[in-house]
Amino acid sequence: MIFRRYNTSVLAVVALGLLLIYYYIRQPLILSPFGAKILANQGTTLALAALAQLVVVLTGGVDLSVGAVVSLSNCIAATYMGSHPASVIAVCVLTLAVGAGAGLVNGVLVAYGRIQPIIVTLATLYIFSGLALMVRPQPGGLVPPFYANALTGGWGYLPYAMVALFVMLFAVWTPLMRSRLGTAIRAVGDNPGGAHMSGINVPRTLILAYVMGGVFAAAAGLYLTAQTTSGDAAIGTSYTLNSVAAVVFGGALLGGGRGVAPGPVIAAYFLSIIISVLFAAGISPFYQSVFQGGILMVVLVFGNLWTLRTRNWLTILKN
Amino acid sequence: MDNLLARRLSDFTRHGVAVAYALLALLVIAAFVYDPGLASWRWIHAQLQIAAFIGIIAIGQTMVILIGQIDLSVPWNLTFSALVMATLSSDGYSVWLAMGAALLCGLVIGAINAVGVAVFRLHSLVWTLGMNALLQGASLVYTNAQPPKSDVPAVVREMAVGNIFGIPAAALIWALLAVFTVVVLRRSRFGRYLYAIGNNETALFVSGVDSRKVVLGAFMVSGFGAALAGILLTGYASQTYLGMGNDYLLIPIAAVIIGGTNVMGGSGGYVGTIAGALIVVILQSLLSTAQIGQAGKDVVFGVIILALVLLYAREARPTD
Repeated sequence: MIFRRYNTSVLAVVALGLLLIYYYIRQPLILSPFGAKILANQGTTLALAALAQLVVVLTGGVDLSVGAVVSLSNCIAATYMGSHPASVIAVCVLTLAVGAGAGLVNGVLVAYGRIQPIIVTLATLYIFSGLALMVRPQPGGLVPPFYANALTGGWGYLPYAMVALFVMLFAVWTPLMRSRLGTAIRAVGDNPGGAHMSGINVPRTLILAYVMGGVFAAAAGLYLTAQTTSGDAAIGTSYTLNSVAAVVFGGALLGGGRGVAPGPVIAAYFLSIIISVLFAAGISPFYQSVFQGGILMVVLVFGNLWTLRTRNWLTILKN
Repeated sequence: MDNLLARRLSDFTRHGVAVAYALLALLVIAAFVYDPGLASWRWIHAQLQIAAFIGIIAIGQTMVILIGQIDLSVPWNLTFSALVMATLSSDGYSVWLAMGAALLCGLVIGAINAVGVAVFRLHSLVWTLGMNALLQGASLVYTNAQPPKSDVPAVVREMAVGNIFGIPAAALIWALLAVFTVVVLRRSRFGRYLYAIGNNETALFVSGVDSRKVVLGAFMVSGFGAALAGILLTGYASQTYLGMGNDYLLIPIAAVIIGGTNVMGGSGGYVGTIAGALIVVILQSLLSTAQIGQAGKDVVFGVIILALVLLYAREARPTD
């Protein structure tokens, strides 16, 4: 009964399982504390970005600015962090606040500006990546080793990346999505008119969803900063496509209303780890985008193969 | 009720086109006042040349947006097609064959986009986003990340930077295609069907039109336009390079929306898009004249687009 809610995540779980088995056969070292750490570190940024995308997709929109917010927060964190623990914490909070602000801009424009989410986030994609480039015209910056260690290190078989992800998942995501806000977000995505009629404040819900998305995207940027220990205004670009791919692969419904966190998070690990598996299998890294785009397209087509079996095209049009 | 809605919508569209041309006039005057040195044929010539590339991409984008979809695969479709042309011509094939192959490439990519949207009923936003990534990878694999260092064929250079009676050849190509597009949108069956799909695809299907073929047409035009722009940009820059299409995602879409075409489809047209293309090009030129760096340009440009959309391309209140 409890599993039925997570049915949509099965594809991602199976895919990740098969991938890890294949990887283990090729490279048994992954089953060591070191290997576990590497695997966990690889997917955490995308997992957080996927959660940022998921909350917006649940409202029925799409956030094309996720990648730009990841870049922006990466640049801010790497540029201003300093080396004193107090300043590190302050800059982390500041970065999350900037992410929230970016989400607020998107949300206000969608909710009160009444502009299509695609157009809003396509424009803010340029704005946020321009700001990132202003903060950090050249790649670089300073990240103290203890910050990188705290997020990318590990304790035995327990990578700190998993701890960070679980904190975001169970201390932030789950309580919020189980609250009235979470219900409202799903309701707005499913049927905005109906949600309005049921007394839900649609604009406020949309704004809070985009703010939440901005915070998760900034968290992804913070994690990325620990991973790369530098700032780069162009580093986040691929996270827009890959976060959408993870959300789709993880079984969320584009158009809104349906989707649970485990699917996209696991799909994010799949999409990140498959790159190193391909590398291990001797395939040129140039194929990375081919696989990322290709996987998204194949998953999309498989999800909609039923359209080929339909006798009456009209039933499809009416959907 | 529906009648009233339709009337309001069509008023709005005409209004949008008028606003776009008024804005264009204002912008030109503002540009000349800001910097009287700009009021020269040389400046206008340069604007027309660049506007041609954007306008050609915006033909397909207008059609795709009219049917309520969007084509995000333009940047790497443009690059990939240009790379195909450059490698073929540096391998010694004739220019015409190379250009034909590039245009065919664009058409096929457009057709694949359309199959996902029309047959599998996928949202064009994610489908073409996936296509864009696929083509990015394909370009890297195809060239081994080393773009061909060939001499650009003279014909291609002439098309992009040549002049006919002092007018940029690229702008003349654009003008020809623009007239054709406006006639097709207003007078042909295909044009009417595009608007019909944007308004109500089911109604069009029930009246006996296979709407899938119309969607196919719109995306193929978009793919063709991206490939043609890729060829012209190769001539303009005298080279093909990875990432040459990166600037051509938001800007043509912005031209379409500023030109008054409804983002949800169903109303608008190419006449407005022409003004939109000129507006975005002049804006960019002004930002360059003001010596704002690339980062600042991106920020200002994004803000201006949002401001213009807020001004006159808002959606109806969803809860009315």
